[in-house]
Amino acid sequence: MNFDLNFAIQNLWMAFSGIPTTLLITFVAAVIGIPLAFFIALARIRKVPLLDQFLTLYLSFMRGTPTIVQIYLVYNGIPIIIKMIV
Amino acid sequence: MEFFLTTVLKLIPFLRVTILIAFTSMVLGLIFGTLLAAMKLCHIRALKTIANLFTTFIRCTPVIVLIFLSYYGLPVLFGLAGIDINGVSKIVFSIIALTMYASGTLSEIIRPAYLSVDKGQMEAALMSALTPAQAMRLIILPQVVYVALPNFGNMLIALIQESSLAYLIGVVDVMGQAKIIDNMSYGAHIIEVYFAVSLLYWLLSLVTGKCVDLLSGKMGKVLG
Repeated sequence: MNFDLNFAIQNLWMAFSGIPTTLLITFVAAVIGIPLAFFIALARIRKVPLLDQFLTLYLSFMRGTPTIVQIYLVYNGIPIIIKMIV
Repeated sequence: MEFFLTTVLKLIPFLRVTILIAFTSMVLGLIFGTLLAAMKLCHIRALKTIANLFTTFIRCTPVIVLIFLSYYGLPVLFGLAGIDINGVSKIVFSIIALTMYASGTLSEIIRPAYLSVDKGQMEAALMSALTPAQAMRLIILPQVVYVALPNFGNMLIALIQESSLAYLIGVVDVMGQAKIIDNMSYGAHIIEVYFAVSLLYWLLSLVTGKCVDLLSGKMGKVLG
Protein backbone atom coordinates (compact mmCIF):
# COMPACT_ATOMS: atom_id res chain seq x y z
CA MET A 1 0.00 0.00 0.00
CA ASN A 2 1.56 3.25 -1.14
CA PHE A 3 0.52 6.83 -0.76
CA ASP A 4 -0.84 8.08 -4.09
CA LEU A 5 -1.17 11.85 -4.11
CA ASN A 6 -2.98 11.95 -7.46
CA PHE A 7 -5.64 9.60 -6.17
CA ALA A 8 -6.07 11.78 -3.08
CA ILE A 9 -6.47 14.94 -5.18
CA GLN A 10 -8.92 13.32 -7.61
CA ASN A 11 -11.10 12.06 -4.80
CA LEU A 12 -10.90 15.26 -2.81
CA TRP A 13 -13.73 16.60 -4.97
CA MET A 14 -15.81 13.57 -4.21
CA ALA A 15 -15.19 14.17 -0.51
CA PHE A 16 -16.20 17.81 -0.96
CA SER A 17 -19.59 16.68 -2.27
CA GLY A 18 -20.35 15.47 1.26
CA ILE A 19 -19.96 18.94 2.78
CA PRO A 20 -23.64 19.97 2.28
CA THR A 21 -24.74 16.90 4.27
CA THR A 22 -22.30 17.75 7.07
CA LEU A 23 -23.50 21.35 7.15
CA LEU A 24 -27.15 20.31 7.03
CA ILE A 25 -26.81 17.99 10.01
CA THR A 26 -24.78 20.55 11.97
CA PHE A 27 -27.06 23.51 11.34
CA VAL A 28 -30.38 21.74 11.80
CA ALA A 29 -29.09 20.24 15.06
CA ALA A 30 -27.91 23.68 16.20
CA VAL A 31 -31.09 25.50 15.18
CA ILE A 32 -33.26 23.02 17.09
CA GLY A 33 -30.77 22.30 19.86
CA ILE A 34 -29.93 25.83 20.97
CA PRO A 35 -33.54 26.98 21.72
CA LEU A 36 -34.18 23.60 23.37
CA ALA A 37 -31.06 24.07 25.49
CA PHE A 38 -32.37 27.49 26.50
CA PHE A 39 -35.59 25.97 27.84
CA ILE A 40 -33.75 23.14 29.55
CA ALA A 41 -31.50 25.67 31.28
CA LEU A 42 -34.54 27.72 32.26
CA ALA A 43 -36.32 24.69 33.74
CA ARG A 44 -33.20 23.78 35.70
CA ILE A 45 -32.65 27.33 36.98
CA ARG A 46 -36.31 27.66 38.05
CA LYS A 47 -36.13 24.11 39.50
CA VAL A 48 -39.49 23.13 37.98
CA PRO A 49 -40.61 20.08 40.01
CA LEU A 50 -40.40 16.70 38.24
CA LEU A 51 -39.11 18.32 35.05
CA ASP A 52 -35.90 19.29 36.87
CA GLN A 53 -35.28 15.73 38.07
CA PHE A 54 -36.07 14.30 34.67
CA LEU A 55 -33.73 16.75 32.95
CA THR A 56 -30.91 15.98 35.39
CA LEU A 57 -31.21 12.32 34.43
CA TYR A 58 -31.50 13.15 30.74
CA LEU A 59 -28.45 15.42 30.76
CA SER A 60 -26.35 12.93 32.68
CA PHE A 61 -27.29 10.25 30.13
CA MET A 62 -26.55 12.47 27.15
CA ARG A 63 -23.18 13.55 28.52
CA GLY A 64 -22.29 10.06 29.68
CA THR A 65 -22.86 8.08 26.49
CA PRO A 66 -20.93 8.25 23.21
CA THR A 67 -22.61 10.04 20.32
CA ILE A 68 -22.26 6.95 18.15
CA VAL A 69 -24.34 4.93 20.65
CA GLN A 70 -26.96 7.70 20.71
CA ILE A 71 -27.13 7.61 16.91
CA TYR A 72 -27.68 3.85 16.96
CA LEU A 73 -30.32 4.17 19.69
CA VAL A 74 -32.25 6.85 17.80
CA TYR A 75 -31.90 5.17 14.42
CA ASN A 76 -33.14 1.81 15.69
CA GLY A 77 -35.37 3.02 18.50
CA ILE A 78 -37.63 5.54 16.76
CA PRO A 79 -39.09 3.02 14.26
CA ILE A 80 -39.92 0.71 17.20
CA ILE A 81 -41.58 3.55 19.13
CA ILE A 82 -43.59 4.53 16.03
CA LYS A 83 -44.66 0.91 15.58
CA MET A 84 -45.82 0.78 19.20
CA ILE A 85 -47.91 3.93 18.77
CA VAL A 86 -49.45 3.02 15.41
CA MET B 1 -35.43 -7.75 29.44
CA GLU B 2 -33.59 -11.00 30.01
CA PHE B 3 -31.62 -10.48 26.81
CA PHE B 4 -30.75 -6.99 28.03
CA LEU B 5 -29.36 -8.27 31.34
CA THR B 6 -27.32 -11.07 29.77
CA THR B 7 -25.93 -8.56 27.26
CA VAL B 8 -24.89 -6.24 30.09
CA LEU B 9 -23.14 -9.15 31.83
CA LYS B 10 -21.46 -10.20 28.58
CA LEU B 11 -20.24 -6.66 27.94
CA ILE B 12 -18.80 -5.94 31.40
CA PRO B 13 -15.47 -7.76 30.78
CA PHE B 14 -14.89 -5.55 27.73
CA LEU B 15 -14.95 -2.41 29.89
CA ARG B 16 -11.32 -3.38 30.51
CA VAL B 17 -10.41 -2.55 26.91
CA THR B 18 -12.32 0.74 26.97
CA ILE B 19 -10.67 1.74 30.25
CA LEU B 20 -7.25 0.69 28.97
CA ILE B 21 -7.57 2.80 25.81
CA ALA B 22 -9.04 5.84 27.56
CA PHE B 23 -6.67 5.93 30.54
CA THR B 24 -3.51 5.21 28.56
CA SER B 25 -4.37 7.99 26.10
CA MET B 26 -5.12 10.29 29.02
CA VAL B 27 -1.74 9.67 30.68
CA LEU B 28 0.18 9.98 27.39
CA GLY B 29 -1.96 12.97 26.44
CA LEU B 30 -1.04 14.70 29.71
CA ILE B 31 2.67 14.17 29.01
CA PHE B 32 2.53 15.40 25.40
CA GLY B 33 -0.02 18.08 26.24
CA THR B 34 2.32 19.54 28.88
CA LEU B 35 5.13 19.44 26.33
CA LEU B 36 2.97 21.23 23.76
CA ALA B 37 1.88 23.84 26.31
CA ALA B 38 5.55 24.42 27.21
CA MET B 39 6.36 24.83 23.51
CA LYS B 40 3.58 27.40 23.18
CA LEU B 41 4.83 29.35 26.20
CA CYS B 42 8.54 29.32 25.30
CA HIS B 43 10.23 32.12 23.42
CA ILE B 44 11.46 30.15 20.43
CA ARG B 45 9.23 31.08 17.52
CA ALA B 46 9.69 27.85 15.53
CA LEU B 47 8.58 25.66 18.46
CA LYS B 48 5.60 27.93 19.08
CA THR B 49 4.50 27.69 15.45
CA ILE B 50 4.84 23.91 15.34
CA ALA B 51 2.83 23.51 18.54
CA ASN B 52 0.10 25.88 17.34
CA LEU B 53 -0.14 24.21 13.93
CA PHE B 54 -0.39 20.76 15.53
CA THR B 55 -3.10 21.92 17.96
CA THR B 56 -5.10 23.56 15.17
CA PHE B 57 -4.88 20.41 13.06
CA ILE B 58 -6.03 18.21 15.94
CA ARG B 59 -8.90 20.45 16.95
CA CYS B 60 -10.17 20.70 13.36
CA THR B 61 -10.13 16.96 12.74
CA PRO B 62 -12.80 14.52 13.94
CA VAL B 63 -11.49 11.75 16.20
CA ILE B 64 -12.70 9.10 13.78
CA VAL B 65 -10.50 10.60 11.05
CA LEU B 66 -7.53 10.58 13.43
CA ILE B 67 -8.18 6.90 14.18
CA PHE B 68 -8.31 6.02 10.47
CA LEU B 69 -5.22 8.15 9.75
CA SER B 70 -3.28 6.39 12.48
CA TYR B 71 -4.52 2.90 11.55
CA TYR B 72 -3.98 3.18 7.80
CA GLY B 73 -1.34 5.92 7.73
CA LEU B 74 1.24 4.76 10.27
CA PRO B 75 1.95 1.40 8.55
CA VAL B 76 2.64 3.32 5.30
CA LEU B 77 4.84 5.82 7.13
CA PHE B 78 6.76 3.08 8.91
CA GLY B 79 6.89 1.11 5.65
CA LEU B 80 8.80 4.00 4.07
CA ALA B 81 11.36 3.64 6.85
CA GLY B 82 11.49 -0.10 6.19
CA ILE B 83 9.80 -1.13 9.46
CA ASP B 84 6.95 -3.61 9.36
CA ILE B 85 4.27 -2.87 11.96
CA ASN B 86 1.51 -5.08 10.61
CA GLY B 87 1.56 -7.27 13.72
CA VAL B 88 0.91 -4.36 16.09
CA SER B 89 -2.39 -4.52 17.98
CA LYS B 90 -5.24 -2.33 16.78
CA ILE B 91 -5.56 -1.07 20.35
CA VAL B 92 -2.16 0.61 19.95
CA PHE B 93 -3.33 2.50 16.86
CA SER B 94 -6.46 3.73 18.60
CA ILE B 95 -4.36 4.79 21.61
CA ILE B 96 -2.04 6.75 19.29
CA ALA B 97 -5.00 8.52 17.66
CA LEU B 98 -6.65 9.34 20.98
CA THR B 99 -3.31 10.48 22.44
CA MET B 100 -2.96 12.95 19.55
CA TYR B 101 -6.49 14.19 20.20
CA ALA B 102 -5.93 14.41 23.96
CA SER B 103 -2.56 16.13 23.78
CA GLY B 104 -3.87 18.82 21.43
CA THR B 105 -6.87 19.54 23.61
CA LEU B 106 -5.02 19.21 26.92
CA SER B 107 -2.32 21.64 25.83
CA GLU B 108 -5.06 24.26 25.46
CA ILE B 109 -6.26 23.39 28.99
CA ILE B 110 -2.80 23.40 30.58
CA ARG B 111 -1.59 26.64 28.95
CA PRO B 112 -4.28 28.95 30.43
CA ALA B 113 -4.12 27.05 33.74
CA TYR B 114 -0.40 27.80 33.92
CA LEU B 115 -0.98 31.45 33.01
CA SER B 116 -3.65 31.72 35.72
CA VAL B 117 -1.06 31.11 38.45
CA ASP B 118 0.14 34.48 39.67
CA LYS B 119 3.69 35.51 38.68
CA GLY B 120 4.37 36.44 42.28
CA GLN B 121 4.15 32.76 43.26
CA MET B 122 7.29 31.95 41.26
CA GLU B 123 9.11 35.06 42.50
CA ALA B 124 8.23 34.32 46.14
CA ALA B 125 9.31 30.69 45.73
CA LEU B 126 12.66 31.73 44.25
CA MET B 127 13.14 34.28 47.05
CA SER B 128 12.60 31.44 49.56
CA ALA B 129 15.81 29.87 48.20
CA LEU B 130 14.03 27.18 46.18
CA THR B 131 15.73 26.28 42.90
CA PRO B 132 13.62 27.01 39.77
CA ALA B 133 13.00 23.28 39.36
CA GLN B 134 11.86 22.93 42.98
CA ALA B 135 9.66 26.00 42.71
CA MET B 136 8.05 24.56 39.58
CA ARG B 137 7.45 21.16 41.15
CA LEU B 138 6.39 22.23 44.66
CA ILE B 139 4.67 25.58 44.15
CA ILE B 140 3.53 26.13 40.56
CA LEU B 141 2.61 22.63 39.37
CA PRO B 142 0.14 21.77 42.18
CA GLN B 143 -1.71 25.02 41.52
CA VAL B 144 -1.79 24.40 37.77
CA VAL B 145 -3.14 20.89 38.33
CA TYR B 146 -5.77 22.15 40.77
CA VAL B 147 -7.02 24.78 38.31
CA ALA B 148 -7.04 22.33 35.40
CA LEU B 149 -8.45 19.30 37.25
CA PRO B 150 -12.15 19.73 36.33
CA ASN B 151 -11.16 20.06 32.68
CA PHE B 152 -8.90 17.01 32.97
CA GLY B 153 -11.95 15.13 34.24
CA ASN B 154 -14.05 16.28 31.29
CA MET B 155 -11.26 15.24 28.93
CA LEU B 156 -11.07 11.77 30.48
CA ILE B 157 -14.84 11.33 30.11
CA ALA B 158 -14.61 12.56 26.52
CA LEU B 159 -11.84 10.02 25.87
CA ILE B 160 -13.95 7.19 27.32
CA GLN B 161 -16.68 8.10 24.87
CA GLU B 162 -14.48 8.75 21.85
CA SER B 163 -12.74 5.42 22.45
CA SER B 164 -16.00 3.77 21.40
CA LEU B 165 -15.15 4.80 17.82
CA ALA B 166 -12.22 2.37 17.87
CA TYR B 167 -14.68 -0.41 16.97
CA LEU B 168 -14.61 0.98 13.42
CA ILE B 169 -11.06 -0.33 12.92
CA GLY B 170 -11.97 -3.61 14.58
CA VAL B 171 -10.99 -3.08 18.21
CA VAL B 172 -13.17 -5.27 20.39
CA ASP B 173 -14.06 -2.95 23.27
CA VAL B 174 -17.56 -2.55 24.76
CA MET B 175 -18.84 -1.13 21.48
CA GLY B 176 -17.02 -3.71 19.36
CA GLN B 177 -18.38 -6.60 21.40
CA ALA B 178 -21.86 -5.06 21.23
CA LYS B 179 -21.60 -5.08 17.44
CA ILE B 180 -20.64 -8.76 17.57
CA ILE B 181 -23.57 -9.62 19.88
CA ASP B 182 -25.88 -7.61 17.63
CA ASN B 183 -24.71 -9.50 14.54
CA MET B 184 -25.00 -12.88 16.28
CA SER B 185 -28.64 -12.18 17.15
CA TYR B 186 -29.27 -11.06 13.54
CA GLY B 187 -30.23 -7.54 14.66
CA ALA B 188 -33.36 -8.83 16.39
CA HIS B 189 -32.37 -7.33 19.75
CA ILE B 190 -30.57 -4.26 18.49
CA ILE B 191 -32.29 -1.86 20.92
CA GLU B 192 -31.50 -3.98 23.97
CA VAL B 193 -27.86 -4.24 22.89
CA TYR B 194 -27.38 -0.50 22.50
CA PHE B 195 -29.25 0.24 25.72
CA ALA B 196 -26.85 -2.11 27.46
CA VAL B 197 -23.90 -0.32 25.84
CA SER B 198 -25.19 3.11 26.80
CA LEU B 199 -25.79 1.93 30.37
CA LEU B 200 -22.18 0.78 30.71
CA TYR B 201 -20.70 3.96 29.22
CA TRP B 202 -23.04 6.00 31.39
CA LEU B 203 -21.94 4.23 34.58
CA LEU B 204 -18.27 4.49 33.62
CA SER B 205 -18.61 8.23 32.95
CA LEU B 206 -20.51 8.80 36.21
CA VAL B 207 -17.93 6.91 38.28
CA THR B 208 -15.05 8.73 36.57
CA GLY B 209 -16.74 12.09 37.14
CA LYS B 210 -17.31 11.30 40.83
CA CYS B 211 -13.67 10.26 41.28
CA VAL B 212 -12.44 13.51 39.72
CA ASP B 213 -14.80 15.49 41.98
CA LEU B 214 -13.46 13.68 45.07
CA LEU B 215 -9.87 14.30 44.00
CA SER B 216 -10.63 17.94 43.33
CA GLY B 217 -12.19 18.30 46.79
CA LYS B 218 -9.15 16.68 48.42
CA MET B 219 -6.75 18.97 46.56
CA GLY B 220 -8.85 21.99 47.47
CA LYS B 221 -8.48 21.12 51.16
CA VAL B 222 -4.71 20.66 50.88
CA LEU B 223 -4.15 23.85 48.90
CA GLY B 224 -6.58 25.78 51.06
